[in-house]
Amino acid sequence: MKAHYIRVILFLVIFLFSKNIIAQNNSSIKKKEILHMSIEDMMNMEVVTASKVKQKIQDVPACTRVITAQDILERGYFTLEEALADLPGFQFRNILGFNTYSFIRGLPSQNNLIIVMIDGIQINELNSGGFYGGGQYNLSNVKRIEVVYGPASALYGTNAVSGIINIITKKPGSDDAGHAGIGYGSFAKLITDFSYDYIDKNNDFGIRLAAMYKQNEKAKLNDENGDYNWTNDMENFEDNLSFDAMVKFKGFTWGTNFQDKKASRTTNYKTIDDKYLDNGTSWNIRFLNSFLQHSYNNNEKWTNQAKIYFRNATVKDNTIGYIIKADSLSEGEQVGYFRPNHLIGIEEQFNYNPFDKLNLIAGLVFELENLSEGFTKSYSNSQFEEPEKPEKPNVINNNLLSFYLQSQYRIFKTTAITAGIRQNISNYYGNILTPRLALVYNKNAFTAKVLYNRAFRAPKPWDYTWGDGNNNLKPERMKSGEIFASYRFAEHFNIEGSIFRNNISDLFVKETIQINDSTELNRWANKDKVTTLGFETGIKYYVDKFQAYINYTNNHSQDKNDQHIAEISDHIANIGLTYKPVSNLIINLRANYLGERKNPKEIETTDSDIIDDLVIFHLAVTYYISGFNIQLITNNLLDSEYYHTSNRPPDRYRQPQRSVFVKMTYTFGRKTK
Amino acid sequence: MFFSLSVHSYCQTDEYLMKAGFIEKFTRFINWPNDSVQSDTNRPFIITVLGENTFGSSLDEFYLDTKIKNRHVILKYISDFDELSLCHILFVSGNCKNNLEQIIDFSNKHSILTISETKGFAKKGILINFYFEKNKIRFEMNKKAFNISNLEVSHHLFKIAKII
Repeated sequence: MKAHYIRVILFLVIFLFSKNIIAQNNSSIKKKEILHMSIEDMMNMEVVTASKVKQKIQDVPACTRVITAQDILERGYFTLEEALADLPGFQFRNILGFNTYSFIRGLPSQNNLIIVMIDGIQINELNSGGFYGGGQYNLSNVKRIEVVYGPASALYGTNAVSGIINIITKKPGSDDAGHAGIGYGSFAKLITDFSYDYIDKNNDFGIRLAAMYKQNEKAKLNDENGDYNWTNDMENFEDNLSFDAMVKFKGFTWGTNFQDKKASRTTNYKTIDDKYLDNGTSWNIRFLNSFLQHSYNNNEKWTNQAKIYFRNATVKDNTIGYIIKADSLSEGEQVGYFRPNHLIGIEEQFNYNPFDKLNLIAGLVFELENLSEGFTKSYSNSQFEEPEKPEKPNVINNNLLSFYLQSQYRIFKTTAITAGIRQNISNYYGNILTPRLALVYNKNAFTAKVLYNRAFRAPKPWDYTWGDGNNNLKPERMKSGEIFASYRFAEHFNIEGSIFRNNISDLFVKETIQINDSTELNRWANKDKVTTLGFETGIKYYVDKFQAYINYTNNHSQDKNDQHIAEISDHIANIGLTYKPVSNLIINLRANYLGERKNPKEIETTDSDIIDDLVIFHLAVTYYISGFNIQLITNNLLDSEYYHTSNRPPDRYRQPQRSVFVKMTYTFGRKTK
Repeated sequence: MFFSLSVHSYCQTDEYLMKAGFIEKFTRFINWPNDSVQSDTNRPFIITVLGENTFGSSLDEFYLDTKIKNRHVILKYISDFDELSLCHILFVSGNCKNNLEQIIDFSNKHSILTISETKGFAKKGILINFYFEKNKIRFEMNKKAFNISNLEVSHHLFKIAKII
């Protein structure tokens, strides 16, 4: 009994003494650091003014929302989609396998209508143009995630159709001096990550290194848990390795992001009563992005940024795409896949402020890409035998020259007009011009934006060669109009809303052509048109100890026959509460709601083509003590049974059951020279 | 890439949090005349931002629980010169160019410390003006204008500033 009291007293002492030790990346620490600096020290601090384009979020001619490092930490996000799920307008098709698909503003896709960038360099897979969802993003090294809603081809060219997701990593000297973390939880969820940061202000030098290993089994899907699609032997693992490096020296920045992802492909197919085996597959894909950038911003009127970058996205030659079970006629087979792709590009951007009211940005992009014509495959003669490595595929060499110009002119003190244009000249998909026009009004706490954008997605080799192939594909094209407004009622209370209408034409749909009784052709074809009308609204309230948000999206998408688009719900809502009862304890509770939606096909177990609506709760508790933070994260708190749509052989996808995860991280104090 | 437009808007928080910190530091080197309303220690310390609020929420964040000269800080954001009333510090944004003369006259008459971040404003009579040098925040001070303002300034501040 005495020992128990001692333990309680010790705990209380530690608790009380650690009240003021809170996350070192919390902005209040930064403020405290500033307060304790001398004015001379402050004059030696380098501040982040990347382009000297002095434009506030209210002035940006787009609807933009942000997930901060603090949000990521407090809410315990494990994958990119978990972070995006709390923003307005996002829906998902999580197949619990090698990929998860994200849809913004009512437009389903293979992730190829959204561009994901890490530090401004695209990480979409080069051959298909689609990005990979999942756990391979090292979220502990992310400073913030910026999401631009709506088309942005006038800035980014192809694939910037329904939005842009820019993941900004922590820069040398901008955050903690490094950390080491480890976590473990249900579904064999394991994460270990670390970072190291060094800055020498006297010599304008800084380096930041970060690495992460993450693995998990995604959900329990055997037998009745997965609509009797898979056996008790099924796998649905995902293993990720990621490495980030950034070195800054005077005006130069070199950055590299490496991701290696291995995931089971079991859930691509049904295996009970089908020919496929549900273990042994592994989709192995590797991404490597690297850039060298020079920024010149020592002139008041103009700045210049030159960048050379390299991208590699390769489905590795040890990939096992699927395994056919042995039967009375054969020993079965394993099928290997290989698809290497890389790209090298340069970009020159010039920013000019001839006078106060006018800002001009001009840029030139040149890219050379070497893409595989398609997958090469190899086959073994047994379900137990690995195939030989596939041969190197034929390579397509493409080049792209783009130039863009954007001008922003302040007509009145409160009002600015932005006009932009981008011309793309590609030997692969031809010449495409995309304009944008925006009017932004700001007065005191009120902001309004009227936006018009066009965008396109050019077919990629994967589109041309998927199934039986189609060489006559044309780019998908989008026109979009939007009105956005936000108002800050009081210091800590913000409300915003957006109304938009998107029209996408020449949309790719899977087409099946019946050649004769026994033969059919499958391919992508420019067949459909989708119109989406919707609105988003959200409220944020934050005071010292309490933060809350709620957002609601209504988007109605219909095809050229006025039929509701499958996989898209009209209603999305998210709510979140963060409470800090004491300064070293943070409790976050959040919920995601998605209304019912149509499945692309009939679901055998329910005799219906409707996926029910869902409400999912998540809880994260974070406790700080002596440089450590300890987190307890519970996803799907109420263990709700819910499903996502499917455009693959399984009729629908059961989503993860309740999972509990504990993580401990130690943050190092900064040592600077 | 082009994203710098929005990227920068968030990066500015760091810049403006620093500028908010500089403002606090300046007050350690400056005294208001004894006979002025501003020297009344029972009153709160008032910082007014005139015109475009380039600070975003940085000033609010910084002065939420930070005192100046052991006094609570009140922040005011106004868009027009007509709304300007007595304060300790007036931050004049770049879009106030057209009535800068009026602003400076009013401030000098009422011992208000004027601060800006626009090239040429110090020459026109703003007391302290921020500028950048190799990504570091610097400030210039108009010594002649300080003499007119009746504000008492430590020589140390003049030493580390660029004098114009």
